[in-house]
Amino acid sequence: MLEKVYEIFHEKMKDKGQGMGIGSALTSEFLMIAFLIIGTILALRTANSTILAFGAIIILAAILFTVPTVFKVEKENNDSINLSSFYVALTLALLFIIFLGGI
Amino acid sequence: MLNNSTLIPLMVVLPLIMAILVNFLHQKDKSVKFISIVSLIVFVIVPVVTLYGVHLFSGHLRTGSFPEISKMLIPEVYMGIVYSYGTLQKILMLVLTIITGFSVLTVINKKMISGVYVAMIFISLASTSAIMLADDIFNFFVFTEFLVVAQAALVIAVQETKSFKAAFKYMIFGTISGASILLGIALLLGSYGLLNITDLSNAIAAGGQLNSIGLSAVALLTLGWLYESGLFPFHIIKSNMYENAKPEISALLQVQSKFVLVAMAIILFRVFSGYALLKSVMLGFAIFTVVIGSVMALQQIELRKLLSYVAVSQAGLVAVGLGLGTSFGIAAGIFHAVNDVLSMAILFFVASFVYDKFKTTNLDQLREGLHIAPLVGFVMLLATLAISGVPPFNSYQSEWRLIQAATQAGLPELGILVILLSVATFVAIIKAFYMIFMRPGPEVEVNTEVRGTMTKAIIVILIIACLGIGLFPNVVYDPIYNFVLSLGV
Amino acid sequence: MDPFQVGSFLTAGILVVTGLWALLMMDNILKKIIGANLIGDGVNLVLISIGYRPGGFIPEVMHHFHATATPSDYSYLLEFGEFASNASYSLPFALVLTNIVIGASTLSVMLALAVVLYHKYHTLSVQKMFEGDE
Repeated sequence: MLEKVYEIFHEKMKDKGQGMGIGSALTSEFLMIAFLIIGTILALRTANSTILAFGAIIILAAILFTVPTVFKVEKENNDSINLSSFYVALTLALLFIIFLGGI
Repeated sequence: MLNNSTLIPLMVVLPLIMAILVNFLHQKDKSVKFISIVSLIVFVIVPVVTLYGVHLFSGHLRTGSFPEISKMLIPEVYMGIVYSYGTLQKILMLVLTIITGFSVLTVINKKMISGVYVAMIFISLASTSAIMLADDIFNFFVFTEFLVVAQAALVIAVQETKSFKAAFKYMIFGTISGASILLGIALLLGSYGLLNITDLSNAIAAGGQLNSIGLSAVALLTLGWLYESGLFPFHIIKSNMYENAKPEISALLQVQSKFVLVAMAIILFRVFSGYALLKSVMLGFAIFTVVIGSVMALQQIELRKLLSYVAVSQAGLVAVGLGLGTSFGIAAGIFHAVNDVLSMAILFFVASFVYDKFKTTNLDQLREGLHIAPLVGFVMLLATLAISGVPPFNSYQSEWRLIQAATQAGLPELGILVILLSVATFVAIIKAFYMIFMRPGPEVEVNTEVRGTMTKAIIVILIIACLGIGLFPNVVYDPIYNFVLSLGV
Repeated sequence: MDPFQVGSFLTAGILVVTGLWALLMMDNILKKIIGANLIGDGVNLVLISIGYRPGGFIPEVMHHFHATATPSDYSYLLEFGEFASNASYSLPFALVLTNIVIGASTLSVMLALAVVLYHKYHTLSVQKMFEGDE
């Protein structure tokens, strides 16, 4: 199965250079998966343990279905002005909801 | 504690006067060079000789507030603008002025010296100093706006289309965030009638639970903080700015961003003390920035873009320390800011040398640099170890304290994330080091006129400073910890 | 609150929302810049409206207030009950003046950038100028 993961990465990174590009992309993939799992545990640890179990299973399923997550992250982080404006508007709304809603 | 010390406002006023002078002497290269070097020496000396204390502008003392008539919640208020100078400000000012000095020395070492360019650097230095010193929230806001314009001007000076676009995006979002901060200040002024930060924190603490106006002010000021420090969602714009400026100026921009992050977070903590949700929100955005910055850094094949994403992710790490909320966490975060600006400055100066010597920073086109510049390669290797948190360098001391603070605050998973981040940063930069200096291949075009002695001297001094702080961390850490304890947040 | 003050805050809110909409949604670069300026105007109006007092006068201590008193500390203002209870709040004037100057300088830099970008791309559409970044 690991060879399949390597093949997927090799295909997507053909234009990015040889072995070092793939190595660093795999490192970033591990970091992203670790962040998603740790983030879920951190956010849900204080809540019910049932919610924590469900959240962990959902996140694991999501990861398995979208394995090369870093390419999607890279596409979302390009510096076009429309994308940045969208995220700024989203953050402003999120901040108001969190602070005024008193979560 | 000296009241009304006159040297404190000199740290802001002197760079502004020198900026006007140098701007006036544009195109007279020798005068610009001479005045810049003299001013840099003075800028480093002034924070050293200034005694701790407050400066009350126009001598307006702390006085009674007539609470029965004015309906203010505290009995005594400051009547004018106040600047305060403590141990933390001294350490941050020293690091800022020294790295500004190194950047200006690199700039005036080139063939074409522009008085306007050096003036913009001095204005950004004055703005950052004022942001760190100000105890008045509106004065702080005015200088954040100056900083945005000065930083945009430094990027515009590169005169390429990419840099114009980066500066335009920076100013558009700067307007949103500046209006956000000012609206938050207006709401606080309307509710409490105060602009001084010490008085505001006392009044908000005395006023009980924050009402919806106060909560809106918190949300707006937090958005402003996210922009000024370059955290999510403004990390793309900030890294765009670092990437498009000249690398020696990027070294300066990242110092200013991290110190403004620290200063504004301390202001937010002081004003809204005891409000736990603010710290959790800051922690959430910080963690997100840390991961996104590292993930993006690992994908890059261009040196300046890679370093700019590493800088953004390390700023997120500083904000993680601040967002933990405990005194230990905040002190660890500020200590990490000081350490990290030194190591990132080394890497940006190395990028500047590579850009001048090899005429490109695209990692695919560089090979075998170690034959041509062995000292720079060796210092870049040491700087990679320094920034990743390897002992005996300085980031080891601060990251260890961050992990301990996270564990003590009840969030040991954050410690795991910090360790993973260190590994990811190491992988990203060591890949760049290998591709520039060690990878075998055909000869690469070299600019033989560039000797780079100034850059080499600067990076050697900075790496010795990193080693010194790593071996004797308490020289820098203890004053920071005592300052945070005295804040009482 | 006085209805005039409420109307003033509402107008400021409309200005800020219109400016934010123009800044984020419009394609023309000049409209984005105008939106940025509108946000600043809205915030200035909020600041000024905070200092509103119905029937108040300009907070300048006229000479018939201090004909006999020599100001040595701020307690002399208590003597002027008429002044203190009828003058509008003077602090926002200073803040707004500073903010207008800041707004003018950022506006000038953004307009200069728009001119340079127009010379390069021969279009005012942000989509076309920034499409290479995708």
